[in-house]
Amino acid sequence: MRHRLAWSPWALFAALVCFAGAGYAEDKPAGTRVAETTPASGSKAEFVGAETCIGCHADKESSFKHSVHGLAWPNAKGIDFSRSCETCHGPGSLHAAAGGDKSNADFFTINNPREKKGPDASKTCLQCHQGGTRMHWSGSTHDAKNVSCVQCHSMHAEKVNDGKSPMLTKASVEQTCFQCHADKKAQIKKSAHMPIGEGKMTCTSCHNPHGSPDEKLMAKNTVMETCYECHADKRGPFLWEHPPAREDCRNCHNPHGSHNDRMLITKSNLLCQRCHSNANHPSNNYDDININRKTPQIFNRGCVNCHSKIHGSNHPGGKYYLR
Amino acid sequence: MTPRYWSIAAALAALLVPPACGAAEIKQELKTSVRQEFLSSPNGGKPFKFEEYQTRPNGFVLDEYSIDLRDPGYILDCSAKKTNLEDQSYRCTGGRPGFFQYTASWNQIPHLLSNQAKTGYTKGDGGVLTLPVTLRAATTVAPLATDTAKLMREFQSSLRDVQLGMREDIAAMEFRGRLSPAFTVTVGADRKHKFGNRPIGGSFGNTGGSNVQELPEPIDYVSNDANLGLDYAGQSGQLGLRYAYRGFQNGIQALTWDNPQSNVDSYSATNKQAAVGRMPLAPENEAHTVSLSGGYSLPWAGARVSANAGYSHWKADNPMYAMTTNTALRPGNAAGTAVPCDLSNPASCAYPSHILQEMDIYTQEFRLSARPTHKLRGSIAYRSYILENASGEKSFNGWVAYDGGSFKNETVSPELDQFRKDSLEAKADYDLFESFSVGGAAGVEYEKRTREVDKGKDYHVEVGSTYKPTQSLFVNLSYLLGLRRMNGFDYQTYRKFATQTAAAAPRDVFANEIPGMRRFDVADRNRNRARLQVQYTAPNDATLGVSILANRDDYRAGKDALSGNYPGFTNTQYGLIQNHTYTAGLDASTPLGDSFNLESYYEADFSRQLIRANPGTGQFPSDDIVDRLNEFSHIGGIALEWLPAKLVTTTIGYDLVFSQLHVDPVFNGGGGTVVNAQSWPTTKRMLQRVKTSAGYKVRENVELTANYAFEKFDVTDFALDNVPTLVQPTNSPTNNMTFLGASLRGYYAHSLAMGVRYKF
Repeated sequence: MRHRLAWSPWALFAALVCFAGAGYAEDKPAGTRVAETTPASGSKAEFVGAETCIGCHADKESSFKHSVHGLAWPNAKGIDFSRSCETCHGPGSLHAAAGGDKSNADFFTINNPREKKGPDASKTCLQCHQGGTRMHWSGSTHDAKNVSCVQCHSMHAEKVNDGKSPMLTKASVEQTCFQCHADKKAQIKKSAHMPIGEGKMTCTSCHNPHGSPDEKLMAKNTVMETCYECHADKRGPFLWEHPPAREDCRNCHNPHGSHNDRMLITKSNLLCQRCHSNANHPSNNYDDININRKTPQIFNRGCVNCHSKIHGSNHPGGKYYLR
Repeated sequence: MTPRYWSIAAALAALLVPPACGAAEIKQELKTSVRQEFLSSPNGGKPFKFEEYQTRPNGFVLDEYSIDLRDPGYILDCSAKKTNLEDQSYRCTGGRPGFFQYTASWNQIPHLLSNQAKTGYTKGDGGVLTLPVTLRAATTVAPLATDTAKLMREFQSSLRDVQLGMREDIAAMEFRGRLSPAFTVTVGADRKHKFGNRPIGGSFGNTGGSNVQELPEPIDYVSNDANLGLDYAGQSGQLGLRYAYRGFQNGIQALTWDNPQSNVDSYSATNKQAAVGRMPLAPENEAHTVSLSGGYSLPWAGARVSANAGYSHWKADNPMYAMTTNTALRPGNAAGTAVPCDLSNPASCAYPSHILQEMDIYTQEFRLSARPTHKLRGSIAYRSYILENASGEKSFNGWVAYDGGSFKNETVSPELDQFRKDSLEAKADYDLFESFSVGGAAGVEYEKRTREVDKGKDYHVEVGSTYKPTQSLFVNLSYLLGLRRMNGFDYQTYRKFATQTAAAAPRDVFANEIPGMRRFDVADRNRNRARLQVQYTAPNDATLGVSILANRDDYRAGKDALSGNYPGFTNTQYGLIQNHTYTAGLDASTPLGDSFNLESYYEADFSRQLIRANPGTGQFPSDDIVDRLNEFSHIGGIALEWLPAKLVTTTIGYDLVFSQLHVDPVFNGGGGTVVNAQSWPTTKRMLQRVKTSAGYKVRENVELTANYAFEKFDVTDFALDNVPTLVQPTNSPTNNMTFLGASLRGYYAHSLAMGVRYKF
């Protein structure tokens, strides 16, 4: 059985880019545009400089100057501190003139991503950060659910993480993700789990929350490729492949944690019997009688007491994964 | 950390030393503590592990040292953690902001499996496990040779401690630099070394079914990985090209172990023994992956196209071991006594000396997303995953399941399993109101594989709504209906069935893949899934997160007769026929007054599976039992933080992780034999942990800390809580199973630590 690649989507992609590209005179490098705001009043907001901003927002000065943005912008983009605030927040003259009066519509002419909905909130950040690992953000699960950059990140990072990258709103990657994924917080505390609680892994070791080609937001192109990053001994390829193991590790393992050994989705012999239930000893109903006898299929590590090469075998007689 | 790695780290640091540190702002912090622990096991014996990374040595611990240098032209952020413990780690990130950034790290990840295992084997070079000479000699000397019970007692007397566990040392570095405002290059490399022992089964299976020998498999894995990336980021278009190399080397390519019941090879109708067993271990392999990603923002309707194409080539070229170490056997001759077929004598082997396995993986994704109006957004995505087994066809004449018995004088040809999955999905969300949106998705996934059911489609429809009246409240509710509809059995092209002829023929042609078996991953499936997510932040910074997931999967036979119309087979679906899971998670925190913060979380899991099994050995599905598996989990925790004064911090927390599994037969049916089946004893695991900590700032930069932790683990598990080193099943006393005795044991532990946190 040979598989064929689908070329039609590639052709469509190329056509769209060519067609749309004709509308652009020049594709400038990212981050060269400055955020724009539409004034609520008739007058047009103008740039006033950071010195005006810190008149009210003095607490932001020190943290921003020591943040990655504060340090990088002068070098990389030629944006010194005086222009920093309005690079993201837009011209602030009307906002400043409102003097903190929220009944004045001009107060809201400032661009504050934290007060906006998902796509509008993220628009400011995406002006510079749409490449690299954010390439597939648009249309991703998080984007579709109106999750925005500022729900996880804080540009003014003095509140958390000691100003260090990646400037999260919470103290760690895990706490950031657990804001919405509360069930995962509990799962990683189960007795068989990856060392996330011990600080040796984080959610982003496997997932790319900014969008990825995989529907589960995997950091790599596929689930399997992600697992083999650490479990290269399971990559094979083997002479005797175990098809469910080759197709998807999650057929047998729960990567977020399990109460069964080796993060299995259920206890060993029942896991195997999900499939192997038709003839001879794999199909036996191992009950309390077998438990008292300490029948190997249900005792200790269950079926893999014998079928130890269950991920695949390179032995000429390995078709039962015993060798 | 070995001297070699220290020298590499020092060289790196020298290369990347800050050009001008004089004007930089430097922050340094040191955390140290003195620790005393007490562990015990309620049932006596050696206590099991406390925390994941083993018991720690009592005494001084350097918990963390960090230095953070910030200069307009350079940043450097380094930390060293637990430098005198096994889970030590070091990390440095630095660079010139906006131009380049590098990261170098060393991380040790220990994983203890058991600290009370015992083995009679001595580890030699090249994965050879040998038993004491005296015991080996005894296996052929009367009366031990004919009295396996006595022989096993001799084996028991040779046991000594072996620690089962592994450690992975990871050295990694990454450099990212901007070549121009639009181009960024990334170079990374890491080296992982995993070593230690883990249990592995090495059955001889020569008498009474399966003589399990559990062995301490020596692990010596090295992975060398490299990454190279080039990114272009324009205002409207972005492009990324990546190359990844993964090289895996196994220092121990085969495991060879003595049979504790025999040191002679034989093969006859009544006596099937092998003196030594051998199995190849994880094959060395390498993978090359190239991927190209691109995204382009179209000038209309807020539209954007993105695409990704990836190609991986996996290759494993490893020694091909002979079918057995049993010198009484040779290929094609069950009773031969001539030259053994081995790598030392390849001329006698029917197998090649090396075996080359290759796979090609293709992945594609195309997505068009758009926001034509402020209220409407949608996307359409196509994904493809193709696994092409590019290995050559192979076949072997004669094979042995385990080195003792079960010689099969037949030709076997490993199947070249292929797999592909293509999916097309369209999604749309519409904001009915400023704070309320509804959405829907519909998709189809096409699967094709070299399996007993060769192809099928999985349709799904999902509807949902999101309520987000303010930035502080988010409610997401969704429901998914999935219908997987597969083809019938592919008798024509599925070679594993090809030799299946009639009911009278051997029915276990290949791993029991006989007509009548339809596995749950290729069976028809009805899926109903509902999800609720709530996140709320109150004005006083109290937070509430709720996550509920209910999933019901029901499996059914689907197209065509499951029996394949063979006499003696029924049309009943076996294996997993129902899998329902329900999960509810809660996370809440709130300040209590000016000086208290309360945090809590709780999750309840419930899983119910129905698995249809057979009542007895060798019976075919004319009778059956449906087992019901119920699994409950309760996981929760509560922590109280008390800040009585500006200089004092106190916390106390309690965590509980509890799970319970129960299996009972709920239906004996099918007709024919009356079957009595008994419930399993309930298995339980409970981990309780109390942690308290207190901190007092003597000065602004000096804090005294005290930590106390109590941890208690209880376990009731018929399979794992009492694993002896020798088991002889009462119904098969000649089946001598030797285990490592790696039981899962309860324990309790106290840990007290007093420390200092100092900021320079």
